[in-house]
Amino acid sequence: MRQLIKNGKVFDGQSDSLKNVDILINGKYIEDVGKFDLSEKDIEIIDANNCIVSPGFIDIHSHLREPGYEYKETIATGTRAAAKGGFTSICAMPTTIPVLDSQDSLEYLKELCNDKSIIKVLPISAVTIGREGKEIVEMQSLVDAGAIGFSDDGDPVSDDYIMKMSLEYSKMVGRPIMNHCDDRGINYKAKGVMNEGFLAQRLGCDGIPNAAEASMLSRDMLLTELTGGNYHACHISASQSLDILKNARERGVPFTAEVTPHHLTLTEEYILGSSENDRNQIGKNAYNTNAKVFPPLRTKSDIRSMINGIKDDLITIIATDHAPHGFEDKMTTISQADFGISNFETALGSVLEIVHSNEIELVKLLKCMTSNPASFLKEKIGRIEKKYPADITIFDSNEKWTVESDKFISKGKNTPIEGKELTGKVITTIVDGEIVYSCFGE
Amino acid sequence: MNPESQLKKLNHLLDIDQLTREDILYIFEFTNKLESILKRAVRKVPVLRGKTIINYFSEPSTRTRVSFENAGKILSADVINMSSSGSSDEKGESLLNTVETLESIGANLLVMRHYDSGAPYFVARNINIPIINAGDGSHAHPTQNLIDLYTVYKQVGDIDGLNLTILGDNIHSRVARSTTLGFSEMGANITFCAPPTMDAKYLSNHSTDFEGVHWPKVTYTHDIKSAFNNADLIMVLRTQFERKSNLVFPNINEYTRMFKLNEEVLGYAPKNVRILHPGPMNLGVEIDGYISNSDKTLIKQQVKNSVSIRMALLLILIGDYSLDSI
Repeated sequence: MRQLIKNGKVFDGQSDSLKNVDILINGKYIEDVGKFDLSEKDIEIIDANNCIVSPGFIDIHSHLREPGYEYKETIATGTRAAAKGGFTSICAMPTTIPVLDSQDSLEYLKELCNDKSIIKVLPISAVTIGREGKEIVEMQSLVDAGAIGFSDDGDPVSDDYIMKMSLEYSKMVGRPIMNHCDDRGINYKAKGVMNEGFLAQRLGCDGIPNAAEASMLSRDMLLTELTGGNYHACHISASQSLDILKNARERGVPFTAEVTPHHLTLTEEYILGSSENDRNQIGKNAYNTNAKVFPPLRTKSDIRSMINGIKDDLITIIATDHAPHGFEDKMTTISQADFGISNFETALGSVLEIVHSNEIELVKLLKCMTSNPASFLKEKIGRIEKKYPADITIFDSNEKWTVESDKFISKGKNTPIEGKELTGKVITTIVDGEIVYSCFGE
Repeated sequence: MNPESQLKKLNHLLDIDQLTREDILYIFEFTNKLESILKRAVRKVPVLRGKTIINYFSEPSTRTRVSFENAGKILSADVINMSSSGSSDEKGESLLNTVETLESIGANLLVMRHYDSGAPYFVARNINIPIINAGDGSHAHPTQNLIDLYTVYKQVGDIDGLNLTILGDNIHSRVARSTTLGFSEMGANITFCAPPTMDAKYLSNHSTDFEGVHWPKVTYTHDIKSAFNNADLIMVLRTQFERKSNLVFPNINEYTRMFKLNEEVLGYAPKNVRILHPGPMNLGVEIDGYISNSDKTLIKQQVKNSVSIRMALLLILIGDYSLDSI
């Protein structure tokens, strides 16, 4: 059975403009793109009128929590939430129990995904055994088993020697070290809970300075230059980090970098929670644990730097860092709450904010969610082109909706933008020619 | 504006920034009246009879806990003290479950001390009884501040225009934050004096309000001489060894040499300067034992006023009182 997506404005993953073309899907693949005069009866028409048709979104940084933390998220709920957010391929971080650091644990995850996932899941292995920062994993064996990269995400690779050797070794295995930059001397003993600055000190909270991120990123750029290794910077948040990347680019050091939807749109003020009346005083909604995320929400000027980073191609990937948590993980004090935002289902509506405000062009943004992560992954996905898998996301960029976490498919209801109106909604998500999400089926 | 009716709308006392100058003056007036009770032969009035107050303390405390207990008992409330050691906290019960339990048991008011900044805010939005913040992490200690304001008001007079120097570890100090807010609301000028490693530099260095979050102008210096030059009041803070302060100065010897309040440095200040310390003191570290016992200090008055101020706050939050009945 063939399918035809008609009447949409198509972003093919490469071009700088949208085209009024139709997409013919045959089985798992895109058969052709163009204008078709088909008279066959057994063709299913998908009407994308008023919608944008894009290659399915690719998220290179998410937490599925299974195995080990099934109360936070499972592969079944996480991948369905991702499909609702328009994602057709996602990469799962190894922050599970057991940590994904061996061929066995990776094979086990793949088995679980075969059973339970409705989209494509690509595993990321830990850099070091147990994410303890001491001993490098069997990188080649893990790549052979399907790991697309290496990360101790949540924790940095702090040890300079381990980082240097991992980067050296990454040249042979051809996959990147994806580091969560956080200098644990500057973010002393990892005690920080929010952006360092006036607000943190006013609230009596330990801060995480921009310098904690930029300092380690600077080390990493020097080590990448020294080794010629494969390096990827996870969720950049600090404006100083962009200066580091710019300098590295000028010196010809190869790297890739990602930014999250929340670091493109939200400031640290979300820690104050919704205001009840007089914002001059700290209201009882302050210390909002749903705005506690790592790296922390920062300032307007940091957001401007992130957007400029995309414009200047220093940041080429938008990744969600989807970090679902259980009720009890967030229903506590700010210092005891877990870090993270449940992000799959609000990612598109969030990032479109900077398109609607004319800060960035739609196609530029979409490249960061499709073809750019596809080339990072070296996978044949992320384009609407003949012979490519039919991984397609249809969305209405103008539809307004209100974030209600109790309607999330994700088990993680932890969002700082509860009640916020977003503009832009996923209508249909297709993986390998199969509709895995339709907003009409809600 | 009638401050009394304004205060009756107060659901919780989380920090001093909830109160205006008028509110604070009203609390003083009320406290002053309540002090007559403390002079009676039988120091007990039945105004909170049948009300249960739970003092929930997850950090050590002497004066705050005991004075709240005493205040509640003088007003005839049933006061239950609990600390996290010996409670279900040690069995892994969450803070939320603990306070929900206390609410269900029938507490009418919770006096809460917690090691995490913001803990009473979290509790206030999740249960339906009034909370008094008796100190949260490095954030706030509003009742201590009212005691200090009241002490100065009684012993010195009008606070408006006074120069207050806060000496010592302000970055980890909830007292420093509430003191700054409260004293500046009453018109005082605030100076922080500390080594740079103990200074909350974003609080002493900012010029305008941050996106609507009020914070007064604070002057910072590490030079004790200039910090004392015009000081009418010196608030000495405790050096908080338990909050990693051991790393923020080379050693106690150097700290005391530069920042301890002793007779010599007190000579830099005007003669009629008065000294406050929220307690507990580390004698010989931030303050000389001789000074702490001299008549320049208001330390004993601070402790004495801690009962009457806390009586006033309990009544404002859960009392169906009229002044005549007391």
